[in-house]
Amino acid sequence: MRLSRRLFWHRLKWEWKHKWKDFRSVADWTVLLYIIIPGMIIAVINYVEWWSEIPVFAAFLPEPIWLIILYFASRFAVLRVFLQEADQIYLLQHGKIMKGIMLRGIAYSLLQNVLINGFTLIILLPFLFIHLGYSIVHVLMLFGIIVLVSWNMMFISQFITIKIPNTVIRVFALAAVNGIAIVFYLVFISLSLSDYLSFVAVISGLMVGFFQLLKMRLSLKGAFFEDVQRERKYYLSWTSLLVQGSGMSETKSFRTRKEPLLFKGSSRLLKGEDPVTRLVDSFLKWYIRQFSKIQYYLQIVGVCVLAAILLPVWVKFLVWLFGGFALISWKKADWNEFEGGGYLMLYKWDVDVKTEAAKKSLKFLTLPGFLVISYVTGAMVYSWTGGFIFLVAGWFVHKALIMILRPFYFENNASSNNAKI
Amino acid sequence: MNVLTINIKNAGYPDNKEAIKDMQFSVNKGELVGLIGANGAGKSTTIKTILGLLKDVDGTVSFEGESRYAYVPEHPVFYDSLTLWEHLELAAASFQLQTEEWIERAEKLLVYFRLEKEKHELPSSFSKGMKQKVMLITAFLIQPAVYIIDEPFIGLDPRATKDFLSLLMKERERGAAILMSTHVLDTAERICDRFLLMAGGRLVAEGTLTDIQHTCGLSGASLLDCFDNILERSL
Repeated sequence: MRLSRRLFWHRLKWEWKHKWKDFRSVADWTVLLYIIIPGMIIAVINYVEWWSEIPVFAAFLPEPIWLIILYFASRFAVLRVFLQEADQIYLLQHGKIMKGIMLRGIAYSLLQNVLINGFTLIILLPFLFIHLGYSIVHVLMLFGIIVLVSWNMMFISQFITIKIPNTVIRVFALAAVNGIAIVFYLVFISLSLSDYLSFVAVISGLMVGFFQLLKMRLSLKGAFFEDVQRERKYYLSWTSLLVQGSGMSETKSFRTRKEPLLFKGSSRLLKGEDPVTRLVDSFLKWYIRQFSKIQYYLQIVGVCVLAAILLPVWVKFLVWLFGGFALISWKKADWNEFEGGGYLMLYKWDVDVKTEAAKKSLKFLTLPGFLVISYVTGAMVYSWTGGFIFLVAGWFVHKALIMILRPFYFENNASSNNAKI
Repeated sequence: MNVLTINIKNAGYPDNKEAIKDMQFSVNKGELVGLIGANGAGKSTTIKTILGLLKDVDGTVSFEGESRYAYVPEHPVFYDSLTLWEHLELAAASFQLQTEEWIERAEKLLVYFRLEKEKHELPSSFSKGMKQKVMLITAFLIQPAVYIIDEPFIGLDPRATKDFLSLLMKERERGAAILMSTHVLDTAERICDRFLLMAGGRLVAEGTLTDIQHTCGLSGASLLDCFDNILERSL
């Protein structure tokens, strides 16, 4: 047990050290001064304003919507087990040590979940107290239920991820299970807030479920490689979120598909036989076929859309421009990952071809997301007609952003394998 | 005629700027040169220097004219989400090959290496040997003037090894210059025209097998015995 405790803390400290290093490599004083600190100040000002006057849109949202927002926020926490690939050589045959590490990893994840739920609840407090008329006791009951529901769902989701290899079926299964969970969760809250005995029964049932799932997880056999891959993916997702310009490669899956889901039969996305079109075609297919990259893209767009909905008018414009900048910058990191991938470097590419392909790829990739952000920003400021005006404006702003960012991203970055030294 | 000429004073990495030193050699048209050495001798560093992948280089590497080269790495590299065929398309695009020409050649190579059924599959799902075959196919597809091949035999089954050697000989007859790094000395002895023996980042012997035997004073000895003898003396 001492070894498992020592190993767990060593791995946790190593992870936090590297997360901090990655964060420091990105957040220098300019990022802190111009983005993070102003962002935090704006957020605090808005939050304080909500306590005296909640935003207009909030009045139209019924109680279940707020509870569902809380549910989805609680799903951000990931169940961790802190296993590493080398454990197959040194620890796999020592069941107690492995279980000790996993148990501590799970405890850490559950604590993270409690903190995320607490933080989200604090953000939603103005709406719960003022708009929905919750008391402090109700809020505490809500907190207890959401924590236990999300704890149970963390295990159930992980079982589905481990047991179902087919991506499409897995996505449907997760969606179905989450849908059912939301229904139960809303029913639990409805019962609990009206009757304390019901609350006790709900909490007891959820606790029994939680301990059963915990026992099942710790005794699950044959999940080692999936666990290792998930741990690596989690670590890389944080790093790739932060590190611009370097690109982080998708972790190699132990469960590899034989054929891609999209563009089967190596079918072309773009017609045209010239090298630039071929390179753009390959990049776009490489990108679109990776679920994690699409997910990340949608998250960036989603966050910008949410900010455009929630924040004051003058901030919406900033978010609009920042959204375009963020999309282009982060997608350039994906281009760098593709360009730096060993295969492309096997051949001597013309510098101009790569530069042109980079520009075209980014235009194709970032324009749809930016147009969505543009439409929502315009619609929030000037209603749906404003949305269409902003769609057109977004097209031109996007072109302008690509031109402005050209010296930073498109020139001097493309390198050729020059045979003469 | 020299297709590839190397004249390196030193080359290396930030923490070891002289990983290789005083490397002068060339590879001629229609010649197969074996780059031999123990682990850590500097073979991979030499290859990376030739490919322009290192920053800390003092010297010159020149290809005749604007010669195409193809590099077959020791460890196959792929994009996880592109199919075998899409990798070939990318390779063809890099050299701006004519569509009909490269498609016909690619189809033939896929049949030759028995990968025609896996054409639209993801190489990440292939076995080690199949991945290596894909690397060989992309190299042969281009029909370059120079091949730079790093440990091609790893993972290849006997039949695939025979097919690869047969195609390599045909390329040599076509006039391609081939620089091949390998540990499989008995095969190298049979097929290479000349050898470059490296140890400690330097060339310790070069020439034909007869030249190497003369250098180590072991007439009629195998390449393995000569290599062993020369390594012992250089330590």
